[in-house]
This record gives sequence, C-alpha cells and structure tokens, in this order.
Amino acid sequence: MLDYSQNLDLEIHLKDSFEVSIFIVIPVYNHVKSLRQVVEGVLRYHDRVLVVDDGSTDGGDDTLTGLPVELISHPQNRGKGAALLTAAEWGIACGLTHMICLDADGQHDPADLPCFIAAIEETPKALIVGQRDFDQESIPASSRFGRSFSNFWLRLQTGSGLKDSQSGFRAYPLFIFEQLNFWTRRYNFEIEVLVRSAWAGVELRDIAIAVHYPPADERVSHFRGFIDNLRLTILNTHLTLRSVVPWPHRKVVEGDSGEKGVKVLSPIHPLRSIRQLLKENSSPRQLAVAAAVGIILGTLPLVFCHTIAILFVCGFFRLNKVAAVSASQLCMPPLVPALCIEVGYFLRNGSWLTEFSLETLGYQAIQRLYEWFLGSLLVAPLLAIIVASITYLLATLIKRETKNVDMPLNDGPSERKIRQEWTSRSIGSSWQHQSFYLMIRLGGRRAAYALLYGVVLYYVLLPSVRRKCHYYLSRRFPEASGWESFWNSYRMILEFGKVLIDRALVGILGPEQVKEKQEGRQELLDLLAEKKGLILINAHVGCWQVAMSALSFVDTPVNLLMQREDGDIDRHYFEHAGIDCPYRIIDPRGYLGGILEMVEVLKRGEVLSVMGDRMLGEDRNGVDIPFLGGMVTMPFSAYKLASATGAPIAVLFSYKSGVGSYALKLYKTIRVPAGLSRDHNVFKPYVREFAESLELFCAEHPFQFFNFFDMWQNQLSDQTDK
Amino acid sequence: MSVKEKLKQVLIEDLNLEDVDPEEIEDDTPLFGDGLGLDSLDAVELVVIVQKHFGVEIKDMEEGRPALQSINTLAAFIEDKRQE
Repeated sequence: MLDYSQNLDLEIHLKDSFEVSIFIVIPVYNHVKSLRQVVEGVLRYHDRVLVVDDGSTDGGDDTLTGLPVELISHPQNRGKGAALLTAAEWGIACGLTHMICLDADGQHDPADLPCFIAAIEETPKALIVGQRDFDQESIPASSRFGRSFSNFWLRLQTGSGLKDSQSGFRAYPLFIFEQLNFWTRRYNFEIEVLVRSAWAGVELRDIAIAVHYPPADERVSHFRGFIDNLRLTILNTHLTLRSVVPWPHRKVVEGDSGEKGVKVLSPIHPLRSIRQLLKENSSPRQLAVAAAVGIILGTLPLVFCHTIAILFVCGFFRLNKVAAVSASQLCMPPLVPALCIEVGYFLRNGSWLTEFSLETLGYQAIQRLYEWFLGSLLVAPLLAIIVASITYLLATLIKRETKNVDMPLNDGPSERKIRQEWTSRSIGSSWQHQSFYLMIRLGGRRAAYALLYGVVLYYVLLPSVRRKCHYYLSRRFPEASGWESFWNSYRMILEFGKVLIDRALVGILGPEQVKEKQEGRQELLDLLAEKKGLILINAHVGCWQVAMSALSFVDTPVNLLMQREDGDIDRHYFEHAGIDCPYRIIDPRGYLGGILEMVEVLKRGEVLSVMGDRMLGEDRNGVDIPFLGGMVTMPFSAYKLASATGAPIAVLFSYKSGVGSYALKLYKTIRVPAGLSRDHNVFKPYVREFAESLELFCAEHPFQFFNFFDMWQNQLSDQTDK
Repeated sequence: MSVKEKLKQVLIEDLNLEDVDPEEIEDDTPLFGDGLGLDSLDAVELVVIVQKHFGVEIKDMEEGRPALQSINTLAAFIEDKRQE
C-alpha cells in the first residue's frame, strides 16, 4: 500500500510536465447481479466512471438508472479487449490521460482505487497492475497455476518480473493506445497489451490489491476454456517468436532502454563493443554474466540453435542479449567445437584425436558428438569464467574512464534481485557435488580433475576462501609473498578437491581406483597383538577414509569417533557404493561424550580411531600446546583413555602420494603411563608428541593438512602471549 | 567396611576430590553433572577404580551406564557381580 504523504513532493514535481486526469472503466458482459453494486462502490472513490457494455443480453444496463456514469454499448459481444479499446478511445477524445479498469463481477474491491490513483501520480508513464494476494485460501488452484504460467511467458517474452500478469485490475496510461497497435480483442488482449507495452519501453509495475473470489455457484465468468486458451496459445507463440527476433521494438517511452543508436558489436572490437554496451545501462557485472551465458550456451553442441537458446535465456533473466550473442560468436566453429571434441576424446581415451579421416569424422560422427558434449561440459565453464573475467575487468576500467560522462546505471530492484540470484549462493554445494559425480560417471578421474582445476580457480579468487586457507598457510609459509600465498591456497584447495573426488571415485567406480601403500604395517600388527586395544589418532590430513579402508588387513573391528551433521551433503565412499558402513560409529554427542563406549571397545581389544587435531562438538577436554609457532587447543581424552586402559596410541596419517595412490604412514607410537594425576596438564607432553608428528607431516606434505579455520585462536585458556 | 563406604573412600582418593569427606557424599547423589561433578574423563577413571579395588570389570556399557548413576547403583552393581 502506498503512503500519500510520501508522494506529495513527487506529485508537485510531476504535475509541471504531466497533468494526470483519470477515469474508471468497467467493462461489462452479462453481470446483471453485481454491476450496480460495483458501480456504486466505484463512485464512492471517483466521480468519472465509464461503463462499457460489451453486448450484454441480460439487461444489466437498466440497473444503472440514476447513477452518474457514462455508458457506451457495443451492439454485440466483441470481447474484453475491444471494450477496453473503446474505453481508451473515449478517454482520449475527452482529453483524459489514464484509465483504471476493474471487473464488473465484483472480484475487485473499489477501495483499492486510491492506491491506484496514488501510483499513477507517482509513475504516470507506467502501466500498473493490481497484484492479487494469492495467499488467501479462497483462491481456486487453477487460478494460481494460470497466474504462474502466464507470468512465465511474460517474463520469457519481455524479461518483466511482474507478479500477477493475469490480473484485470489495472491502470493504463492512454498514450499507449495512441501509439501501439493491438491484434487481439478477447481475454488475450490483457496479455498482449502487457507485452507490447513492455517492448515499447513502458514500465510495468505492480501494486498489492485485495481480491474477492465469490463462491463457485455465484461466479459468472465468460472465459471459455478451449477457445480462449487456444487464442492465448496462438498469441503466446507469436509474441515469443517476435521477442527473439533482434529487430528493435518501437519505443514510446524514452530513457528506459538503450537500443537507440546501437553500433555494430563485434568480438573483433571488444573495447568498442563493451563501451557501447556500458552506455546501454548494463553494469560490468551484468555484462560479465551475459557474456558467460553466451559462452556456455555457445560452447554446448546445440547445433544451429545457439542464438535462439541465448536469446531465450537472456530474455528470461533480463540479461543483455546483444552482449551474450556477441560473446557466443567467440565459440564459432571450427575452433571451439574442435577443442571440445579433443577434450572429450582425451577424457574418454586418454590420448588426443589426431587422425582426421572419413572414418573418424564421418562414420564415428555420433562418437564425436558425444565427445563434443562431454568436452563442452568442461570447456564451457572454463571459457565462460575466462571471458566473463576479462569482460568484467575491461568493463570496470572503461566505466571508471567514462564515469562522469553520462547516464546513471539502471539499478532497478528487479535487476538487483536477479544479480543476487546469480552471484550469491546459486552455486550451491549440492549442485556442485552432483556435477562432479556426473563428471566421474561420464569421464572418470581425468574428467572430474579437469573440471576441478577451473572450479578451484574460481574459489581461490574469492577473498573469503583465501582467508580460510591463510590461517594455516601463513604459519606453514610465513615468508610467502602475495603471489606465492595465492598459489599455495590454490594448491591446498586443489589437493582437497582431489581427495574429495578420489573418495567419490572409490565409491562410484570401485576400490581399485585407488592404490594404497602402507608404512609401519608390522608395527601396527604388533601393537594389536598386545591385546589392549589400539587407539589410532588421525588428523584432517590426506584422506582418512582411505586410511581406514587400508586397515582392512586388521581383522579386529574398527570404531570411529565421528559426528555427522544433519544435512551433511559430503558423502563417504561407502555411501556412494551403497554398502553399509564398515565401521561402528561412536557419536561424541552421546552420553558422557561417548567415552564409556570408547572404554568398552578398547577393553574388548578393538581399534578406536579419533581425530587428534581439533576439538569435537561439546568436548571441553583440551590442553593448549605449541603447534607451528603458536598455541592451539587439542583434545586429550584419547590420551586419558590410553592411560586408563593401557592401550597404545598410533599416530597414523594418510597422504595422497600420486595420481591414483595413497600412502598410510605410522608416524609415531605414543604410550601414556597409567596412574597419572587428575591435572589436565599431565597430558601435555603426549599431546605435544602428536603435534610434533603433525608438524612433520606438514613439512612433508604442506598442502594436505586441510585446516580451513583459525585453530590458533580457539584456546580454552586465553593466556597466550600475543 | 561396606561397599558403599569403601566406594566413597576410593573415589575421593583416586579422583583427588579435594575438600570432600566421605560422609558428605549422599548415597543417591548423581555421580556426573550437578551431583558430585564428575566429568566424562572421570568416568574412564571410575571404570578403572572399580576394577582395581573391587575386582569387578565393567565391560559392557549396556549394564555399565545404569550402574554409574550414583553410589547406590554402583554399589548394587558391584555386589551383584561379586555374587556371580
């Protein structure tokens, strides 16, 4: 709802140039029951009312006797659109500027008229549509669906984000009827008028209105299912096809669009093109997104349909079509398709396609097409990121250069919203994981890795991600320069991504995907032979899942202290493979932190595996010890358990040692004597032994300690010297 | 000395519960949390203490968990096990 007081100054300002005079039109066709009531209601709010009787046969006009309204009658029924055009003609002849239309069946509440009038005064050049509140329960489901469907088409054809394109309660500025031609006269008119107005540069705006749906038996609707739907379909087909034809639409409102004086855009003159596009109210970011869309769609093997697809997608998201189509020209054959095919071929066969013959290009065309598709899945996002970055950089530079010259950027709320959709979290993790799983299934490890290189680059470009890497890397490489630390972050995330991929590989394609090498196998068996149980302390390094699966040579049961979060999308290899978890999981959130279960398994002589490098959940049993030049808090419960049960501790880390191989190494055996005092500090030397092993690991495999938080700040007792 | 009394005594000694007299520990005080204030690591110690002083092993936590509620439950558990 609009507030009058806010609009006062606007009103005064606008009145100089645009004198607003409004009338209300009520088109009526056989609504004898409700007509008089509706007209009376309208008269309470506005005194200039026109009723257009579209050939009613129920004598409804007679009910208006005595009311101060104008009446025009069509001799026979011609359709709602025709009635509105008649009304507009009348209004123009009378020298009026706007008409507000509401239905005669009583579903529109005249009490909303003041809002419309205020909205007209605020934006006299806009077409204003009353948006029905569909949260109400009385709205029929078919109406809800119809609205979404119709909104979709409108958006596809014009990019307008109008929320209720089907509503008949509207305010029209009459100049659009003077300047535009309409083809339709029935219900489909209400769609056509929106689309053509939008094309002509008229702003479509919605305001909230109340809606009253009478009970079904009281409703009188003249919408005839089949024939009116057919008419809508024909209209939509026409409008949609027209919307993708790059022939410009005639503008009746200036300023909102920039298609005037478009110079030829060409990828051969990128700077000139970008400068031109920037003048047309697109921000660098919008241009970059448009270019990325153009590249992605241009790279996919949509034979002969690239441009159409780009125009549709850009129309829908209101992206700059010209920028997108221009960018897609970079993907012209033969270069990019050939590149895609080569990449796809390499992913499938591990070698490049070098033989170009009738055999390989002709008879195996289907294979090449598949490789084109496969390759484009990789090439498209990579190329898109590159082109979008370059576009963004150039556009930002040029914008700075021409900043003071002209034109404010069009930063309307709808655009801003779409941009957020594109930039903030649209690359959801779930979506991303799925795409990697898909690459694994389609092209195996190489395909997934190749996709990874690009994705990691994208991530490293985000300052928040680099900050997360920096906590650890700045301690490991205190001397690193800006570029080195960027490169180190890249390597760290890359290694992390590879581990995730390998883990999924093992599950999806089978355990033979990863080879394991063990160092210290005999020592482990010796420790187990003591029959006092065995505590394995891991850290967030390498791939502990691989480490665990490497333990299969041990025939003792393995128990993991592990906390699974709800909605954890990170899947473990056995989940990919669809088999039961081979370990027993002890939940640290259980009774007394699961410690009694841990005692139990050790007493049975089993293996207990815990993470030693960070505090888990509610665990408060930590001690502060030095690690990589700072103090960190590490948990000591495991050492206490060792002391109480006599179980030896094995510090066991895994690391990725080659493309498809992992190594599992016993770094240290720690023995904690029994009968230590209750003071937590007695465990410090043993925890420090573990930390030393981890330091050694970090020295050997700097990019495989996957620590993305500031463990040097989370101390229990904040008594460190800073 | 009854099992309960001995329990209180060894708890205080082995867990270094300073400033606590055996008489101050009520038989039905919860061992963990608000009662005696023991934590999860003391639970580990308790399992060890019970074995060391009473020769009773708490192996299965299905039965261990209800036993480790208070002096009463723990004493009853120890006496049960000894009779077996």
